[in-house]
Amino acid sequence: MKDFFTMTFLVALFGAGVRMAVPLIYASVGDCFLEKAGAIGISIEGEMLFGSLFSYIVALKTGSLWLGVLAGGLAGMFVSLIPAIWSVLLKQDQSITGIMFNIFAAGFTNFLNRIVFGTNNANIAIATFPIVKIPLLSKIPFIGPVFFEQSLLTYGAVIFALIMFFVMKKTKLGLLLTSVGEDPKVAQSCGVNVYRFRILSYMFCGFAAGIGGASLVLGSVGAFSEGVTSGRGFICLAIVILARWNPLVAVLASFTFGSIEALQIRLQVMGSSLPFQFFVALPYLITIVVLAIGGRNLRAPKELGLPFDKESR
Amino acid sequence: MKKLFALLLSVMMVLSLAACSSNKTEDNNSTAGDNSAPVADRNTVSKIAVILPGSITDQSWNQSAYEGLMTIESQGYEVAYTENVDVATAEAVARSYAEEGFDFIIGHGAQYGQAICNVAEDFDTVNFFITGNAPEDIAEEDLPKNIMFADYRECEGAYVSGVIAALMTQTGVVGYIGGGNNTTQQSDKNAFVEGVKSINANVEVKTVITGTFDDSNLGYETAKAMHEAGADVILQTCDHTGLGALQYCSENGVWCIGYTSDQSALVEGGKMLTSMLIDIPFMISSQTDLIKAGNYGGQSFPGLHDGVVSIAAFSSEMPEEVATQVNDIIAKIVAGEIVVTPNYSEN
Repeated sequence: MKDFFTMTFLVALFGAGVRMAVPLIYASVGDCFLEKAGAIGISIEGEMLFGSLFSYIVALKTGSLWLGVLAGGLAGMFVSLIPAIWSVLLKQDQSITGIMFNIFAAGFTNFLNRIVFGTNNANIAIATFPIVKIPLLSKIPFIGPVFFEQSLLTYGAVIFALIMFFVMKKTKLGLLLTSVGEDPKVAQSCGVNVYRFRILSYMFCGFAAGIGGASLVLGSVGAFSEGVTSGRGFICLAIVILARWNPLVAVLASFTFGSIEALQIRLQVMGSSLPFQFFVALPYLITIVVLAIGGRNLRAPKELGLPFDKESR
Repeated sequence: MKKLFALLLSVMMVLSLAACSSNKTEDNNSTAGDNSAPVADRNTVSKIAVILPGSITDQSWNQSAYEGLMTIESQGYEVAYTENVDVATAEAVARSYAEEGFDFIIGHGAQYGQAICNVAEDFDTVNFFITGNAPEDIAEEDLPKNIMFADYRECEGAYVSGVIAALMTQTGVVGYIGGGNNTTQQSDKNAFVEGVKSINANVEVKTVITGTFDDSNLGYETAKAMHEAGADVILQTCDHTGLGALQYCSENGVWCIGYTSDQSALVEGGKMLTSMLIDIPFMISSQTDLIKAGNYGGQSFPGLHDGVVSIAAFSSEMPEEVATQVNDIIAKIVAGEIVVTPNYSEN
């Protein structure tokens, strides 16, 4: 335990926390937007999977990481049309269509992966996003090496959250968004096409989740493996509730979750008499506890999860 | 209208009852047929099914079973497999294969032991195979006779890996990354520690069980945390998760040891010292011959001695004297002078 609170240990711990938070930030900020529009993004797990597969294929074939990120986003956006059409136009239950879509995504990405690379792919690792030190800021003790010695994808995630915070709180679009999630009937009567708005929100969230998936592949490992998301999309749903649909708090919540995951690895490395299952479950356990404590007095968007029918009364 | 609906419903119910009963009689007929068949039936094999815990592209545990199955298929047998089967559904999957007429069913992992035992009791003309040890809570004489448990000594490979790690380390710290909670993984971990300690009791072993075989990002971060804690040789036995760990080792020049197949191509600069090889394709494809030989079943313990477990070619980074010492220990295990007993304790 003596090496627990040394500077190098803490820098490494929180640095890993930031890296592990990046995919969560992209997907949960996207989901903040979608949930504000009144739909739950259960499907982000599957959209992330599609995003990571396509970003890997494109980055591998073109040699450009940025094209890979774009492809990941577009793939996520494209496949998000499936849950979008089913839940918005066909007015089916969002949770069920979302879960069905995730199961489909798990199988279909495996299938595509085997079509493209065969079952004996040599798992070619591609170069990942390099670390970019921000001048001056990276010189600050502790804060610098943790937050300002990261890849462009990481900085991009925070900038993305900042922009979305501004859009959702300060612009007319943000106001429209709130109205669609709170009272779609009134919004419709004011001339907003609620169906179109929600489908576009699904697509936007799919784009963000796809980039989140891309960051899983292009962030550190540099190769796609089947089922690479490992349930991160579901963690994002918890993060969005914790963050109370605020993109900036979502960044903080993602960072907390990533840091706990990084901590559980290091606790195991340090050696402990506790069974490993305890450590593996720790991030999820803490999420549940925090949700139970921090989830009181929640005010979710009023029409969250309800299908909208403009002809209903 | 309502009456008509009720009438229709009752007609449907009667019909479905009839359908059920006709199914039943068919079933009875078929089991009766099976019972009257001579026991010698068990010495033939034509349709083979494998139940896999992961996906066949993991370049490791599941892929090797798949390769074994493909070898069998090329010999003219009919084969099938199911991927990503968790323990809770394994019994249902195995049962449906048996009902579909598969006469040899492989559960690829010790975790399927109980499920396969349950099914094997009901299908005594079908042969079963478990890649792992028999369930510990069932007495040996109570095990169904039509199951072969290949409790292969993967731990012998892990022991040798531990020896290599202890001989190579310069920091005095080495690491083991495991995937999950099954007896094979636990015995790997314990044997690795045992191997390290047999060379130098002062070398510290860091062990992490990631709890997943699919999360390469977690594997990457685990290897990084170990490297930061001073580990300079890392053994991974966790499929996709392990690929992430190898990627970290490749980028940062950390010595590592691969798992199940020769993974040296995945790590740059010869940093992969060797791989512990489990010749699962051979182990699985050779079972058809054993079945035909008759009296199939029981427990077997193949290891380094039988070529099911082996150690891949060493990297050029490994000094000559280390290589000689390791080869010497391998020879001793093969000769039975060193006995590595699997230790399934969790901590």
